[in-house]
Amino acid sequence: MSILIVEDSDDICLIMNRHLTKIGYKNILLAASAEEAFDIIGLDKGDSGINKDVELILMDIGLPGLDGIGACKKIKSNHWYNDVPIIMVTGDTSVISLENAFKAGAIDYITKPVKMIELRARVDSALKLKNEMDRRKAREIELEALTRQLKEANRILTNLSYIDGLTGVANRRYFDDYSEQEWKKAFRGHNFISVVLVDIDFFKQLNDTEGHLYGDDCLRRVAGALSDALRRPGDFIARYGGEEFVSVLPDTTLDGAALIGETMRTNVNSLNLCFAQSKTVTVSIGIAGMIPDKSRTLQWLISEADRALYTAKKSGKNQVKVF
Amino acid sequence: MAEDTIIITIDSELAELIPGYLANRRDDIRKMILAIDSGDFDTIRVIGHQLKGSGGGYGFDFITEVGMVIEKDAMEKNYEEIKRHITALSDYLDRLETVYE
Repeated sequence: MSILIVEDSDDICLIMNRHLTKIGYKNILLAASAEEAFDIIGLDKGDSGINKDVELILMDIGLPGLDGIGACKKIKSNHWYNDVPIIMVTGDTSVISLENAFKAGAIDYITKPVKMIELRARVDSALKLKNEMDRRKAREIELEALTRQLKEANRILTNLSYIDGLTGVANRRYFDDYSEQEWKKAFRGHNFISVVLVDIDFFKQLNDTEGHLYGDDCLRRVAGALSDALRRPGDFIARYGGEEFVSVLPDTTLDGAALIGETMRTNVNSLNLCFAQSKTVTVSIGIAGMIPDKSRTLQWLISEADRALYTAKKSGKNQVKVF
Repeated sequence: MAEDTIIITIDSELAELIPGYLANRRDDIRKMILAIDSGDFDTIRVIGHQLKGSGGGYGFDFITEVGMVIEKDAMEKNYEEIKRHITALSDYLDRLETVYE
């Protein structure tokens, strides 16, 4: 930490230097003009050349060349030095002179001739204030960083809370939140909305014959195949429970939903996942859709898709039924 | 001790600075005498200003007081008054004795 004295009188520099040293401030820098001061603090050397060691400037107002008020203004225009206190040292305590000094960015003034008790009080007080400000700023930066980390952690947690741990697709909770929003949107816009419900055929038998690890792998791969059938940004497949998956398709007619359902079915067939020696994993799909109105709810539409799924199962599985 | 000696008590921490400071004031007197002969009132004003700003800091309140009037009279180009102040300063330095505590 350094204190910079900007003063053209050697005698005043000497006495201030001596007083400050006696008080306990060891690193005192001396400049006889504004230009020398700019050079010492690296004002014209860009950000990398700035001397960040100076924590306080004691500035004579009556400097030769650019005066103390002009120097103060220029120093304060620097981003780093905006926070470094400047105390004016002056014999001119006229209201106008002090007003100009404060306008230029000075925080205090010491009258000449400089007395040690006054110098000590002003310097100690300015540095205490600066340290407090620095501490608060550091704390603010720390808090901002923590807030960012917290937001990111919350975002990750939210994402995690919406993801099915086994398959990596959306979970039932996310489906419930999202589908309800889409239902309301479709209701307001009088738009068609479809629900696609998918169930893996013979999944219990697959688990019994091949074991749960294979069953889990099968769930993961089927989830991937179903997701691949959805092309629009925002469309997604969710694990509805057990071996059931669901997708809500806004602005999609039954024909469009049927096409997607069929793509899902063929995608799963193409996986060629075998079980019980000769069987291949297939899915049955039920689809229902409507323009929402006050007489129906989303739950009703889902139950319709479930009825269509039941029909697909009863009709021999590995097929798409639309209600 | 001469009757007209002026004794000033100074903080011993400043002891080593005092001889140099007082020697500089002798220089100031020489510079002001040269400047007054050539009508260079601006040099006198600057010296007066510096005397005003420094004297009391070293414990010499008279130097601050005389600096103040020198600065003022230099601005008013008051030749006779400046000469009187220079004499007063010179007399003060001649009679001055510093004691440290």
